Amino acid sequence: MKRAGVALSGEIDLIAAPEVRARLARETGGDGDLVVDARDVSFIDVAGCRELVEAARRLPEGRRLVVVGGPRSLARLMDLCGWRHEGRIVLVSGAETAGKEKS
Amino acid sequence: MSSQAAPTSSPHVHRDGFRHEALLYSGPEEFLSGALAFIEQGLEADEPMLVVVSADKIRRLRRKLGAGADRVHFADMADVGLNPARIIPAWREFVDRHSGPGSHLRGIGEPIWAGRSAAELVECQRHESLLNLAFADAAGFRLLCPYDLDTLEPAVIEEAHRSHPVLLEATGGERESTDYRPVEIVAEPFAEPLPEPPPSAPEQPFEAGKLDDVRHFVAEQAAAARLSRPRTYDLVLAVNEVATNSIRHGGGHGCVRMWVDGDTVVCEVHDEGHIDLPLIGRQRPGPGQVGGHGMWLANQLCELVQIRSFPGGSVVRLHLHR
Repeated sequence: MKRAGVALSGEIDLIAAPEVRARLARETGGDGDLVVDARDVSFIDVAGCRELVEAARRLPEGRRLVVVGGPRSLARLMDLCGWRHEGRIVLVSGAETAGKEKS
Repeated sequence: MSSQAAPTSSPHVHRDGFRHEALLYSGPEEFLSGALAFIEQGLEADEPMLVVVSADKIRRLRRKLGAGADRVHFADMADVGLNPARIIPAWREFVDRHSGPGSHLRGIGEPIWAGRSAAELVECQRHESLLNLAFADAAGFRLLCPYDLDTLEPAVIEEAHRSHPVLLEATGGERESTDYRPVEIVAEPFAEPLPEPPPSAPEQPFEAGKLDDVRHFVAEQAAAARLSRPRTYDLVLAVNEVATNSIRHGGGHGCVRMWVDGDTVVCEVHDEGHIDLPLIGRQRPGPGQVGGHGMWLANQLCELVQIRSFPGGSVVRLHLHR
């Protein structure tokens, strides 16, 4: 089974969001969970988080978007915007192996 | 006084619509008798109730209510209303959870007390007016807002007359306010002047593609102001979202200024946009909602957010305590 994956880096804001959207869109066709390696992302804002959420929503039923690592703002914004409750997106600490859920 | 008493001719008061009433009391004993009468009516009618007042007042009310207190939800206004813009979402949650066809529910909310700073007071007063807009459709919801005549300035009481269509005396008297400000006026862009920033306040202009400049400027200034790291992080996030709004909706560019006012770090984002959504930042974004998160986040991350829209542009000021 081919596992889809995207590695992101740097500061993801309004300016970087379109590129993130395009890269995620290219990977939605694979099998299993879509894994986003965000360990080298130093900042992400609502515009960036929205791209992850939108990509997760576009995945076929049963597939999730798994974000590995990422800056503190990722979990903070996902919580404050209520996106984490949707269940389509899973945040995993960068120290763990991809695929394990962070409680 | 009966809870069914129908105020008469005013176009702003409907017996079965949203009822927003100011309770004008003098001192703690009158507060207790006025609030207890309101709560006891609710207990009799078995209405869901939420009381958001100070921790001390909650203790006193609980003691007097005895077992009845278990049927009332209480929340500390110092928590809920630390930023007054977080109070409407709290009432919204209460109303959505408990209202149904023909249902009646009650609330007591005291967002204004003598210790509020001048800036907080203005935002609390704006909040009181916006309640009339936010809950215009909340049939059966009766919200009582206590005002302490002993400790509040006369101008604060006068403004309570403008934001509440009905005025109650602690002794039971009830009358319509003749000074009530209609919701059509509340819905207009809020242009209450703000104090001038200090002339020495450093500034950082920004435009599309330059949001990282804004973030670095805010982090630098916050460090100089000795704001803690977690609070600096909150401020950077909040300013980034407000500046993003400037780029997307406010003319594409703007300017950030920062200064310290006593124990508060103030950061202002100014642009050429026009803010005509009166409840912006006071409605929790729905799950599928695409925009509208920026000002909501700013309110969750900051102790005070002042939103103003003037003919020449708009200003958003964020306050964080050091």
